Amino acid sequence: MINTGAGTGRRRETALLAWPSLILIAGYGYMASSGLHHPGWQPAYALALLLGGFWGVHLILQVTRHGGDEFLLPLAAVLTTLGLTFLFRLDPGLAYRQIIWTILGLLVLVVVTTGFRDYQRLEQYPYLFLSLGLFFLAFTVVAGTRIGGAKSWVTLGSFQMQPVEAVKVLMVMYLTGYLSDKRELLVQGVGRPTWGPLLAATAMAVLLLVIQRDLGSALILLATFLAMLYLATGKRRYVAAGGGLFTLGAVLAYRLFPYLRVRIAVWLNPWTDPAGAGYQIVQALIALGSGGVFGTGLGLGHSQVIPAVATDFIFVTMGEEMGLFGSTGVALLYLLFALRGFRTALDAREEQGILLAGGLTVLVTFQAFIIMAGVSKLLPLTGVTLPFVSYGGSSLVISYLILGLLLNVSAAGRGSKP
Amino acid sequence: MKGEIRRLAMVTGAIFLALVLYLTYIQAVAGERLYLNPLNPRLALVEQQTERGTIYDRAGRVLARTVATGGQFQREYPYGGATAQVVGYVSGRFGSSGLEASRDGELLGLLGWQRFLNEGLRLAGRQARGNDLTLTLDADLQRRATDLLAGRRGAVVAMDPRTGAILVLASSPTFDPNHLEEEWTRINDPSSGSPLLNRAVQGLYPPGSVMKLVTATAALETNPAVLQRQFYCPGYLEVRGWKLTCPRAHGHLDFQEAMMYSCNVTFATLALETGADKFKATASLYGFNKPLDFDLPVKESRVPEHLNANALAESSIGQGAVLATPLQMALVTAAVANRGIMMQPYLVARVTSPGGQTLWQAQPRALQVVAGAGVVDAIKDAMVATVKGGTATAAAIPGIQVAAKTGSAQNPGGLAHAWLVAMAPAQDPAIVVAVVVENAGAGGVAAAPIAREIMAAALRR
Repeated sequence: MINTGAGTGRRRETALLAWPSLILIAGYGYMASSGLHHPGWQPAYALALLLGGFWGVHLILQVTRHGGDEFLLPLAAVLTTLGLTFLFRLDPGLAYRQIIWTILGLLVLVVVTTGFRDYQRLEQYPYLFLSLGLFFLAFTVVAGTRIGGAKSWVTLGSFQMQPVEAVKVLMVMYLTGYLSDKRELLVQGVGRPTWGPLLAATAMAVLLLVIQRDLGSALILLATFLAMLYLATGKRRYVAAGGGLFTLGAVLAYRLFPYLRVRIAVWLNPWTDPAGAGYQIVQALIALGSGGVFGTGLGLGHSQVIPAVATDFIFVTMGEEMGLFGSTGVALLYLLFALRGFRTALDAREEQGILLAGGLTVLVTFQAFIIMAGVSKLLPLTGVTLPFVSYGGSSLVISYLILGLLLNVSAAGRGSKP
Repeated sequence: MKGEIRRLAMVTGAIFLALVLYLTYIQAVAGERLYLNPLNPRLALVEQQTERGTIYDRAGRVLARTVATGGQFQREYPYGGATAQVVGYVSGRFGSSGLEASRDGELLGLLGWQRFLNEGLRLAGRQARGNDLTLTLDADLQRRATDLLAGRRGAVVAMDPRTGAILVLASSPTFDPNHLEEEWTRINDPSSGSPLLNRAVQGLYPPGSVMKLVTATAALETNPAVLQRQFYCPGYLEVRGWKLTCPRAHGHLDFQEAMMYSCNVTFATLALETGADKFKATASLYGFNKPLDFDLPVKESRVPEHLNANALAESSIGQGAVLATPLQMALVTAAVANRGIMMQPYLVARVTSPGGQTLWQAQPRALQVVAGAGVVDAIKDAMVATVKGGTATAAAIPGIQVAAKTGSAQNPGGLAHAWLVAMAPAQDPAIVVAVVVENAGAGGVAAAPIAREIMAAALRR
């Protein structure tokens, strides 16, 4: 473990940021030579804006002597720049909007890392987060729009947001406050009232599943919840009990809801209906297979035949055009992100830090895993975004918010005072 | 709490390891198979940018070629309907079939390192060209077989029993792959008799008395003394209250005569003595109830799993639930012809690169040792007698000894399906033929002349 204070860590970050910069420059070369254009934008502006954004954040961290982990920002930057390059290749219009979201995400990161560096202060109001989360959920249920099967969007004018992305973070923040507060009671396993809020949280996941048909978010919330419960109590039987309850609920839902049955059937054998229900998965598998080991090269694949390729299925485009090397590389980037996140949790001095860092890490990593496994048919497909990569403002901004929180926990753990 | 974090990290590592292993399987192991899947829209693009390879018959006659007219590729099939189901077709609108579909990867140069080379050529704006196929098929014989079947529904399979090389794989009715667009409505009209269906490999028929070759093998393997026995046929056999009949009472006869006159009673008796297990095991050695690895998709020929006495008696004469493809019955005959050794059938002899380099060559190999040479030679002698003075006299060729077995398979569709399997010259067979003509009556009348023509034409050269 490198624990040498803010200075050397940030210097290492400088070196590591060369990689996303190279990806950006390569992406710029592709933009300039591909002939794809979006009116009102110059590739050079996009390049300057993004380079300025990532290096700017780095400089701000350095100037404010932020002691957070030096690997996390470069990892996120590599993922985002890769995602932008592939988005541009799929749809230049989306890529330019994603650039704006990236800048917005970086601004959020700066605000979080400079203004809210003392994360423990945030943890004094767990019930505020719970109420906010429940409010967002309820709001989506009442006023939400159904897009692509899941009723998880809120439309405001020409804007579409996915409040569930924020709900996930609020959930982690609430659980951090609650679990660190009630940890003793839970470890000893006494007291009925302590279970109420936890059951409410589980119910929330099931509610998501049933009302919004957002199987992916429900799974992520549950996994994060169980992981945090395990971190707090160290008791596997809580995890087993939670998993068992969810399985029971899932079996019940499977019997009750035809759409779930269809989804499982498509997962088990998409080839029986390759032009209908199985189309997305069949074409995703063919795209991954066509990429082979070395890939077709950027822009030379044909993954655009897959619906939702810029959001949920962008991993397939990467797999086809960068081959097995690329898809494995992206998976390993998330694993590295996870390892740095868990390292942050290990270094944290208080329970809150451990729980917050552990929970957020599981949140990001597990979401990345289930969508990568979903589009390649390792798991049933659940429509969630690939954090830091997929097109989508809510997802990207929230991902950078999580990054900011992780950096803050890490800085506190390494003992550099704000 | 620190221990819990470590364990959580290990779990995360484990699930990502599973993901990476799985991706390796999908992209590296199954990649080429997924890429060549007909559902892959990339193939249509490659098709437009690649000159498909030529398909030749065994003597170098062109069966399918690509010509460029006005910058557009056009596929031509000089033998038209004669090779339509074997060679197949390829069309942007109607998909692909036959070898054009099953050998897509080779014909378009999409396998292994060639794919990278051709991708490179396409990127450089140059024309990529696929590989050529040389088949074992004899285009002249194939056309003759198609002509002989014309106007009737049926199939002809001819092969070299010593190597497994397929010489003829004809199916009727047929269609003209050069005029697919114009013919498509007629082709799909129910009254046209499914010309797209390759009856030689996809048609499942009751094999009728041709199945007696299998029954005879099982009986002789169990008890060679059968050859010396005398049987008596009163014209029927009662099996548990059910009557199996012969067209007439054959009276006293030996094994060879039973084969010559195709006596149902004798063969059912032999099957009942031999038992269902031995019968099924022999059928399985001949290839029944097993998938066959071939250059075209083949329907699995089948003998029922559970055979009571009635079903066994029926199956032994190729009726009841027994079903076989013409290719399957050709393989049975080829095993008898080749001293009990069944060769792996094959249709593609060679794959040649555009530069003329041989990329792949078929090697004849034994698929299964079915029975001892003594047993199959006895069966072959009985088949020779069948041509000399039994039901298959119409298969005789002057100056060449022919061995054959007829079949007239009862079916719900009307007249019996006419079958004939034959080999020639009987001393050392160089060709085996299986013919089936749907609802044409007796095999010795409707199918035998076709088989004779094909064998005579093949051996004359």
